[in-house]
Amino acid sequence: MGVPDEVLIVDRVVKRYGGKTAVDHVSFEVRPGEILGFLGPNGAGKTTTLRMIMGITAPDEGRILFRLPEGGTGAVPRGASAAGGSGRIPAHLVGYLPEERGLYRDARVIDVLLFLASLKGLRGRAARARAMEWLERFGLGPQARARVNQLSKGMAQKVQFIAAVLHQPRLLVLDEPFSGLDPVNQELFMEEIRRLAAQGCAVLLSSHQMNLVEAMCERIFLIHQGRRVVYGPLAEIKAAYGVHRVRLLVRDPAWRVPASGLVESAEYDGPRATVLLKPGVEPAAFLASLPADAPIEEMAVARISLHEIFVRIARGEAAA
Amino acid sequence: MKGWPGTSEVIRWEVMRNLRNRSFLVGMLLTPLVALLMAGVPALLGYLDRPTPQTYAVVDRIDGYAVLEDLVTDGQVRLVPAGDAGAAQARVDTGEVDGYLVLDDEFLETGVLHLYVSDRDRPVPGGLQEALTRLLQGRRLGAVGLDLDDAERLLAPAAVVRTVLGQEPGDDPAPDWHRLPTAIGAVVLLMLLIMTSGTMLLQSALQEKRDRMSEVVLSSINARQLMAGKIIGHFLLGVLQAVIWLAVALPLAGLVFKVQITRWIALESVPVIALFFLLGYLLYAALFVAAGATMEDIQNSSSLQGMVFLLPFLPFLVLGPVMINPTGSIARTATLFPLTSPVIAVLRVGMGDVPAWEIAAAAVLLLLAAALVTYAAARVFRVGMLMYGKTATPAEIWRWIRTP
Repeated sequence: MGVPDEVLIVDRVVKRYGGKTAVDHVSFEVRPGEILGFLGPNGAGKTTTLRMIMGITAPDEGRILFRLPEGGTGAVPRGASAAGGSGRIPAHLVGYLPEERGLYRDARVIDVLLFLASLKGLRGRAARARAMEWLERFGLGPQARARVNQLSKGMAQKVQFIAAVLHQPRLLVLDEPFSGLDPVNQELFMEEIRRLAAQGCAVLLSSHQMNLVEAMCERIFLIHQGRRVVYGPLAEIKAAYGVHRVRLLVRDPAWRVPASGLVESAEYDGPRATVLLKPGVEPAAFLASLPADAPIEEMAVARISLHEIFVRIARGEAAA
Repeated sequence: MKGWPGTSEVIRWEVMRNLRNRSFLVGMLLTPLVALLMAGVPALLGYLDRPTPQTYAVVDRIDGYAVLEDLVTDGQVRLVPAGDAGAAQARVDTGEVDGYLVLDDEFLETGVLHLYVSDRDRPVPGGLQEALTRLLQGRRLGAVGLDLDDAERLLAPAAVVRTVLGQEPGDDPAPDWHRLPTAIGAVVLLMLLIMTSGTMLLQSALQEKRDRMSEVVLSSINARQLMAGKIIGHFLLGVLQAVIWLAVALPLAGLVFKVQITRWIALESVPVIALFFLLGYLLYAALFVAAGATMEDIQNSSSLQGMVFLLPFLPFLVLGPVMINPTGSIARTATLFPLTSPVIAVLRVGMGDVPAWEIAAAAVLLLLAAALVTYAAARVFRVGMLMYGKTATPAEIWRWIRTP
C-alpha cells in the first residue's frame, strides 16, 4: 500500500457555541510532507478547528478523518459525547502544540518529556534516548535534569516543541508555534518544522503571523469568522488575488502618477511614491502608461503580501 | 491509547511526581513526628511540672496510722508518725514536714479533720482525702459489725443480662468490643485520606490548568482517563502516607498503652469497613477533582466550591445523636445517606449489630451515588480542564453536567 494522498481530511466541519457558529462548514486536507498554513486573525476559528482535529472538542457537523500510515486511521466522532479527549484519534501518530501551552513547573524537564512521550506510547530507554537527542539538538542537554521553573521562557518553549515531536508523529498540528519567540528561536523552529516535513511528516501550521507562514507554506487555508476565505497553493492565491505594488523614487517630489484606469491608489512621501495597481493589471502595462519624461530614478515591482491579501479579502475589497 | 494504558501512565506520573517532591516527602515524614510532638509535649510538660510529694506528720490517737498509711497509695503523699501536736508543730516549723493532722475520736464522730499546714497555697492532696474517707468509712462500718467488702457488696449496682426470647440464655453476647476501635480507626483514616488526598487531587487539577498542561495531555488521552489516573494515583499516595503514619502510630500506641494493638482489630468487620472506605473515598475524590477543574485558583473559589470542602464533615453533624442512640431514626437515615454513610455506617458496625439489610442498602446507595458523582465529575472535568482564567459559575457547572 502506497503513501495515501491525504493524512488528514476535514470535511464540512461545523462547531457551534450557544447561538454562535465558531466554525462554519470548513473543509481541507493535509498531505504527507507538506506544511499547510492555517491562517486567520485572532478569533477566526483556528484553535476551535484544531481542538476538533485533536478530539478535544467534537464537531457538531461534518467529519474529521485520519489516513495515517501504520494503522493510524480513525475519525473524530460528531456530537459532544466525543468531547474531552482524544480517545478516537491515532494520538500516537499525531503531535500537537496547542496555543494554550505550558509545562509542569515543579517537575524536571526530562521527567515531563518522558511522561508526555509515555502518553503517546513511547516508553523506556528509547524514549529517554530520543528525548536527550532532541534536548541536545536544541542546546538543552545540560538542562535535562533542571526543574522547568528554572528554565528561561525560550528554553521552556523549546521543551514544549520537543514534547510535541518526540514520538515522531506523522501528522504535526502546531497552533501559533511562533508566538512569544525571539527571532533566533523563530528561525530555529522554522528550520525544524521544515526538516520534519522533509522527512514526510504532514504539518498543519496555524498562525496569525502571516509573514512567517508565507515563508514556509506551499498551500494555505485562510479562515475568517469561522468560514473559509481562501484555500489552495500560495502561488495561485497570490496570482489570483495579489495585485502588484510599484515603488518609485522620483527626482521631483511634486510629480504625480497620471490618473488612469490602471491604478487603484497612490501614496506619496517626498520623493517616494507607492502605487497599487488594480487587479489583473500587469506592471508592464502600467509602465507603458507613464509619460516618457516621467522623472523616475528607481523602480521596484512586487506582489502584495499574504497579509495584505487577507486584509483586502476580509474587507471585501478583492473579488473572491 | 485507550483505556488503562493512558490511565496507568497518569497514575505513575502522579505518584512518582509527588514522591520526588520535597514538600510532599517532608509532609509525609514530618506529620507523624509532629503528631508525636503534639502528643508527647503535654505529657512531658505535665511530668516536668508534676506536684512535689507532700509529707504530713500524723498524731494518732485512734490507732489508725498503719491503716491510713496503707490507704495512701498515689505517691504524692508521705506520712510520718508524730507523738503529739507539739512535736508535729515543731517539725512543721523546721520545714521537715508540710503539715500535720490529728486522728482522734472527734474525727470519727464528726467526720471533720483539721489539716494544719504552713503554706496556704498548697491544696489538700486528693490521695490523702480519699485515704481519710476510706479510714473513716471502715471505722464507722466496723462499729456496726460490717467491713468495707460487705458494704461494697451491699451497695453494688444491678447487672442486667439480656436474653432474646426463643434463644438460649447467653446467646445474645454484647457486641465484640474490638469492633469499635477498628471502626473508629477506619473513620479517622478515611477522614485523613479524604482531607490529604482530596486536597492534593484538587491542587493537582488546579496545577494542570495553571501550568497550561490540560490541552497537551488531553490531546493524547481523554478526560476520563486523566481523571481516573489522578484519583487512583492520589489514593495510592494517601494509602502510602497512611501506612507510614500507622507504622509509627500503632507500635507507639502499643508501647504507651501497654496493649497488643493487633488484639484491637476486629478482622470480621474489615470487609464491610473496606467497602465503605473505598466507595466513600471515590465519592469524595470525584467531588474534589471536579471542584478543582472548575476553579482558576483556591483564592477565587466560590461558595459552591467551598461547600465541597465541608461535605466530608457532614457526618460529624449527626455524630452526637448517633452515639446516643445508634438504632434511632437519625442513625438509620445517616447510615443510608451516601454523604454520611462512609462514616456513620462504619461507626454503627463498630457500636453494635446493624441489620444486614441496612448495611446492604447503604452500600448499594453509596455505590450508586459514587457512580453518579463520578459520572457527573467526568463531565465537569472534561470542560473545566480546558477553561482558563475564570472560576465556573454554578449555572455553568450545571450546564456541563447536563451536556451529554
